[in-house]
Amino acid sequence: MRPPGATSQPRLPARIARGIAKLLYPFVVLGVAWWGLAGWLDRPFAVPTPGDTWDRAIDLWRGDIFGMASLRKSLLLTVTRIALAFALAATTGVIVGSALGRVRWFRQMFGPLVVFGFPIPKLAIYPGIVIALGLGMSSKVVLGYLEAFFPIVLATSAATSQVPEKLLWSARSVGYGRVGLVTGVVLPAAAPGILTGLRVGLVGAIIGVFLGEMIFPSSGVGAIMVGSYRTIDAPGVYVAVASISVIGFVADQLFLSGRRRLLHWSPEGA
Amino acid sequence: MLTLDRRQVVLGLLGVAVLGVIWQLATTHVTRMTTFPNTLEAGGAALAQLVDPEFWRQLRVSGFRWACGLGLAVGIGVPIGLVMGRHRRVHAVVDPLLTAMYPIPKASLILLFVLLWGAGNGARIVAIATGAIIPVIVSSYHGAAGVEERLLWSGRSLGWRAGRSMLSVVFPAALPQILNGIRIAISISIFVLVGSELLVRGSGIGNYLFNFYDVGQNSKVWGTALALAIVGWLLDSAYVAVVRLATPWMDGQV
Repeated sequence: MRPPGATSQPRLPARIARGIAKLLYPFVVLGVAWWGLAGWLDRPFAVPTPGDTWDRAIDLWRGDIFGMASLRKSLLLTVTRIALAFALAATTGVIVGSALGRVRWFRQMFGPLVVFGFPIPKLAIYPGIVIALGLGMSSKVVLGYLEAFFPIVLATSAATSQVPEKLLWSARSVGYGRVGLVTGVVLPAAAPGILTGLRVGLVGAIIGVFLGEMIFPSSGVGAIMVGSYRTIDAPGVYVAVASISVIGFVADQLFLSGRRRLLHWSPEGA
Repeated sequence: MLTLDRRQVVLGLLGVAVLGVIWQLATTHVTRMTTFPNTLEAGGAALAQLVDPEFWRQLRVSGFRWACGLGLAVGIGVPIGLVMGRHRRVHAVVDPLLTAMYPIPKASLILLFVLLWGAGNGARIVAIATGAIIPVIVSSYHGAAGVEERLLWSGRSLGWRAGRSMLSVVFPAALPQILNGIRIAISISIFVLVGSELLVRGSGIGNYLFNFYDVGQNSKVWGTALALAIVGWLLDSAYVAVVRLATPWMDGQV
């Protein structure tokens, strides 16, 4: 969906090759650095070699080491929690954020609370949340939710408050109602800012869920990480870090490509 | 900038009241009373922590780690970001690495660092710096990339070399963005600090908080958490106020 003027792009295969190279390059750098460090240090309990880590990943994938759930099940659980936390935070965050950005009394009533809530370390409340909600799914999802909610709200309220009045006037003049104005004008016009907030929120959800699984390890990839750490199983720790990094990287890249598709019309989308 | 009209004050207090009522309803309807202190109890427990010398002693232990980590991140991150902003090649090399690192939960890296260096201050400081450095680099990069070319020309016309321009033109011009990035870095670094202390116990405010959880003193868990929240908020507000005072020539908000 490129505008007809933009023909100076290289041909498609070259572009795809460059894209893949750009995507893989950091992993090659990190892999080589890791491999070099492991060989140079020669302390397998501190930094395991990539080979040992790969073997452990396969063991963990099959499952049942030291009574831990398999990596396959844990990944599924962690991803489900992240998806739940992010979906909840995105829905409520965009609604609350738009209300803060467009409705004066709502902003005056809840704006100060959001400004207060944004910089506080949500992790500190987490033990309290666990006392209230237990060790299972809900406390982890709530922590991921809290980490994701505030950046989304702040970005949405900033973006919706900056929608040019002229757009609203012209939409009103062609007969848009209240709902139509929000879904047809405010949200699309604020989309670049909202999507930036959603990206920060997505990473927040990943970090919140993972940290939650680590601090009170009951299940999920975070629990594998802490379980391995407690048995001084360095390869297991590295498997868990690599897994959550891959989850984060894939989610972030999917989000960015979706964002590019949604925003192909705007300068920020390029 | 901040005009407090009466309507704002009344509605703001009303907002706090609504939150208090929701909290109160949550204690009676969503969870068991015993696990969740009600509004007054939680507020009282927070105040009790704020006047407890032990809270501040532990906070000082954590504060030292935090300051070292953040200082390290700013000291390394700003030069990297500025150079990235002025040299396309450096940007092309570093940027994909940052993109790949961005979604990793930095607080979890504490376990890797502890395996490597033991559970002392060093591992914690490196973890905090790793978390805080990304927003510092990214904001310095954007600040440096957006510097007006004219400013650089005038520097060059004075015969300044690249290093001098970087220090006297690019850095001041990028400063608003850098200060903004440091604000984000502050909140991330506090997150990593608390996370690393909850994950690898020993000392510090996270450990102090967790001890109350271990012995089941629920109202103290909430009290410490809220006191920490207030400290985090004060820190953020103080940062904004100091930046505004120190750089009165800067327009726009931090």
